Amino acid sequence: MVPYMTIVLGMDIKEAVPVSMIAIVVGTLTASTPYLKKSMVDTELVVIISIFMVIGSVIGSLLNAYVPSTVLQLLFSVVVLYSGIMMLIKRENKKPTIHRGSMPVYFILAGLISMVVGVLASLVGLGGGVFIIPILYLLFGESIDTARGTSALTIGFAAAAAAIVYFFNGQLDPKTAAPVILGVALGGTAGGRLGTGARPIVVKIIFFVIMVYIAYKLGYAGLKNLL
Amino acid sequence: MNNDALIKYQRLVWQFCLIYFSIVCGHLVINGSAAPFLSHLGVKIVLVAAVSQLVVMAYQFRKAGNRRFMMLSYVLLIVIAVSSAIGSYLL
Repeated sequence: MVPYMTIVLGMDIKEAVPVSMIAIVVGTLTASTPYLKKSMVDTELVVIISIFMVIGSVIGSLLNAYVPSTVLQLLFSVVVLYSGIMMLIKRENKKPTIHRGSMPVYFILAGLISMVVGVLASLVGLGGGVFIIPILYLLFGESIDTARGTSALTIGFAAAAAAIVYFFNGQLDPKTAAPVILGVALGGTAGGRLGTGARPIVVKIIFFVIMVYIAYKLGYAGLKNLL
Repeated sequence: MNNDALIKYQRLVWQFCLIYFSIVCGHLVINGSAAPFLSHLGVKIVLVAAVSQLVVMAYQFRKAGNRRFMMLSYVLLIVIAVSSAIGSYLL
């Protein structure tokens, strides 16, 4: 969303980021409905992850000034690429690394991981979905469908918290946001319906391509800053 | 858990977004004087609607007898409010 608005529409990045946040909010509100209908959302996990992810995002935005972004970009380029490959090759219905049996342990682990995701997503400037989907799939043993559905609803709450901040600071221009909201409301439902109907292997391949692209963008930006 | 309430709520918000923002975009195209006010109000409503999903989720958890997650839904609501306040103050 942000590259499209900055490169194609020629918007300033400081104007594009708040608009993209409200777009994510509307996108999750509309795109998660088909996932909910097909019971592809773990609402308990949504609540746990969102609590800690929102806290993590705030910590991340506070740490932003002190952490060297170049190192993070290069590091996450590798992490994202590794996650993409692992998601592509790992089979469904495998044993989860983090079990749901012991609720306090599960809660603490899920919370800690989500908080780290929130911090990292905020530091690197990416939506949490890039991190949340692989974590749900690779660590929590959720199916690729449930991971997508759960992530679709989760990132909306973190984006809402960020959008509220931008809105009350006057950084979110409602006149720019209005056509974006209408477009996302129209496209979100169609995307959700297509997503729920897609075969898991197709989703894995699409996700792998997106992960490779993000890894390339992060790696390139990191190397450009380094050299 | 039965997600019917959340599905109905999301559908309602979606229908609102389509109708309301079509009107707002119409005003923007013809440079209507009400466009800034309507778009400002629309964004506010969307943000409130997004956060209000948690109240619907809490209701669903309560209906399912899952009081722990009902409480956690309200905790998330408070976390979002507090983090937004902190973010607004610090930025």
